[in-house]
Amino acid sequence: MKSHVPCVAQYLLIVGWCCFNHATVVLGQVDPTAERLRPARTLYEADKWPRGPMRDGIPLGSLELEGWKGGPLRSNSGHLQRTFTAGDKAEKIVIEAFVGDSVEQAHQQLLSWLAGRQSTIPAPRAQDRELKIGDVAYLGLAGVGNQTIGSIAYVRGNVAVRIRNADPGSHPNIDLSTVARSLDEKIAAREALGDNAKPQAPTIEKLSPEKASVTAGEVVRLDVAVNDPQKGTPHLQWVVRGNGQGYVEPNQDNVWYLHTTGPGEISLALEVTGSTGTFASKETKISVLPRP
Amino acid sequence: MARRKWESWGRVFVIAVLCASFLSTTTNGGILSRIFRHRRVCVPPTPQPKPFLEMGATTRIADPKLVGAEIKVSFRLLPASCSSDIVAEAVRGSTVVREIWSGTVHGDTPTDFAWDGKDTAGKFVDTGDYRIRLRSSGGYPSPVEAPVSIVRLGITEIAAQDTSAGNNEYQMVYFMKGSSYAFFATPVIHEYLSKAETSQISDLDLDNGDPRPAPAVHTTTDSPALEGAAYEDDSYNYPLCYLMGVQPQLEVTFGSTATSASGVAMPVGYPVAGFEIRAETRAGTTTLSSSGVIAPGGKAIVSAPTLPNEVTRVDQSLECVWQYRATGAADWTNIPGSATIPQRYYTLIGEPLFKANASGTQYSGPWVEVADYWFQWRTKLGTPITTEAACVETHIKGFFGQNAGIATAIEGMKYDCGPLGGNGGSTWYLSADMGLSALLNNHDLGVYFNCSDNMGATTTMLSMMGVKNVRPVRLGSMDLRAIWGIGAPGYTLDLWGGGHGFSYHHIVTRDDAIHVIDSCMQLDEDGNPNATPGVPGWNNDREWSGPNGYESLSASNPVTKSLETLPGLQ
Repeated sequence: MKSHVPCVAQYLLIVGWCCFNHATVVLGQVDPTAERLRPARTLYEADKWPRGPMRDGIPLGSLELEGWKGGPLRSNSGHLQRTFTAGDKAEKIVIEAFVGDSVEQAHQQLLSWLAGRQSTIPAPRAQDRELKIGDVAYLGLAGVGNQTIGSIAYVRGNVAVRIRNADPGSHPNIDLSTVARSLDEKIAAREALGDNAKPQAPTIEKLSPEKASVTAGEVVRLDVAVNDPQKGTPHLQWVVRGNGQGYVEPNQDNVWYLHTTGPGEISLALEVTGSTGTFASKETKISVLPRP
Repeated sequence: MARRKWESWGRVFVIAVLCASFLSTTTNGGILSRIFRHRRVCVPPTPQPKPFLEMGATTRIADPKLVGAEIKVSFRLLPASCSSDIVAEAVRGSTVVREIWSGTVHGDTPTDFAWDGKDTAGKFVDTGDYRIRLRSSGGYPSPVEAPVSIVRLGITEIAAQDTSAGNNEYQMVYFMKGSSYAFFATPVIHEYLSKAETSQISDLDLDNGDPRPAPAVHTTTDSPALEGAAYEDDSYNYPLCYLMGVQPQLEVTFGSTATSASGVAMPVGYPVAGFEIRAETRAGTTTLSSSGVIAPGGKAIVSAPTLPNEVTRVDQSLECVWQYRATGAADWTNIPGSATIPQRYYTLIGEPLFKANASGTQYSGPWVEVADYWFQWRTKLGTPITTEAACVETHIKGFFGQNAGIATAIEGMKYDCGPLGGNGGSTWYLSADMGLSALLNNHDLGVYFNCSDNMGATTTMLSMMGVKNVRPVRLGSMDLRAIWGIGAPGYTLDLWGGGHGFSYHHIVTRDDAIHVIDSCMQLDEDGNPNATPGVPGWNNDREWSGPNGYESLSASNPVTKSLETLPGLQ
């Protein structure tokens, strides 16, 4: 018996090591993203982060903050950004948000932000400064003496948020914690979804060009119909892919048109960010022929 | 009988003598002249040829709206002994459009003058067939005429083309639409467009008949030309982009609509029956290219002046002239005047490169603002960029700033550390893709960035300017030596204000990390890298290994490195 215990322990150690590396090894190949995040996952004990209930998202595009003027929403495949300026435009804050299909996806985003810090000094937890924000929150301390809260990054369920002072060196007195709490309350007030439920994404019910083949220089009307599940105002973004060339803009009646400017095949993508930050996209194809 | 004969002959003799003397007093003012005075006949004392007008070289086809245009007329009065008062008129049909010239001419002396193509009211005449008529105010000698056809010439579109050497012409990209983010590539079909607005009459002329001026070069580097909230679609002149040292080949389109001075549409007036017209491009007195026979609305490939053999920006003009010849003739004659179109060119070191399989307008070519930054840096640094190594050096010194009259880092950026007012070296601009548009939009996401952001900007900027094989290099933890961070006033051994190390670092390479590039910080080359101050050691293609290598000068510990792939752009 005694001689078997070390064998069993070794066996368990081997199994445990394999499981530990499962997250970073897929079919014998290392996942570079997971590998890059592993040190931060360990440093910040991400596996112990609380898992709050799923929410249907964050209405960043329509967010109003008292004393701040919001700029247009930017979305890069569902990674949201919006800047807010104070009345005199010298002070600016940047809010980034991501609505995941799971709590794990939101945690992954928070971890990515933390892993992007080059400082060897870990970011302190907000709760260590008696700031209760999100399920878990970390602070970026700025300025000489590192006393200014320059950024706050947190998750609330499946929603990850990062708020930063664009220039803490010049404007150290911006109260980011109030902004973060205000936004967190708005997320927490959203309807909780079931644990296995995903937030509803917008749907693109129609996307088709008036003509599938045109000559370069022609303008093509686009038939577009989008549904926002929360009945808000979705954010539409067009991406012209392929070796053809053109741009999309609405006319005075808000009808979308593709203006072709170079021959080739165009894969025209419509990326829709819903009013609560969920994302959908769809493509349609147009052949642009050379001018005679 | 004999006496009577002599008396008869004597009477005849006397009568003859009397007649002779009578005639001699009448031919010049005498009775005969008084008798024949009413007939006003110039009767020279000796027979001579009649005076006549002889037309010389006269412009046959002209467009008076071209810059420097005029219809030249040359003639002389013969024979040399004559003189006369002459009037020159421009005539259309039976209507005198304008008295062009008048004066007294003396025989056998050539007389030259020019018509500016305008009528008596000072307005440009319509296109069509005219005659230059020379006549004497006294009615003699007889009038003579020379035909002249007035046409309307000009270029309405220019599309830059690859040369025969291959893919060496590239569209350029803007990343803003006014104050909003949107990508726009200069149109392949025409980077230059000079056409009528929706309500206007013609492409070549304004509604009052004046020639439509060529659009000025669009010099804004972040946003294309706009008409209100929409992209401009009638009139623009975008910069062109070629590989350095190339002679651009341009497809030009000739205008086909014109406007008269009375504000109505008029034909361009060519082809002229019996004649052919072609276009030439010139640089001073040197002909760069000649087209075939042209037609209104038709196209031709012309050459522009050869571009400098370095990475730069150059403003030059496309000078276009036209010529005519009789159909089947060998020699061409210049149509007086020319059209000059201002142009701006950016040149690259190589074909623009982007993230593999990435697709979207942002990848259509080099960004105008990036190319213009390089031109600004090159100008300040004073070193021509003729090699990839020079590209890297220009980028490092220009991007980092604080040297050679470049006051700050790009867009006034600073490293994200506490002593400079920032956070803990966080990544703000690089996520799934590099947020280069936000960085270039006056640091829209904040004035601080870290080395990952630097790497994202450096890799994508070098690549889009044509530097090959540029890749990120991710470094492991580093116990730093003295460094000069971007935006910092000098070297430091306390980057974080309570710590001096990297949990990771991001730099760049173009030869798989044998040599490395770091735009985020410079190293200390004064022989004592563990103390401040430092002597700037620029990290353009610095060897990784060796006593003066990057690893040795930057950190006191062995540093791991791994190659990554070029990021995308947003």
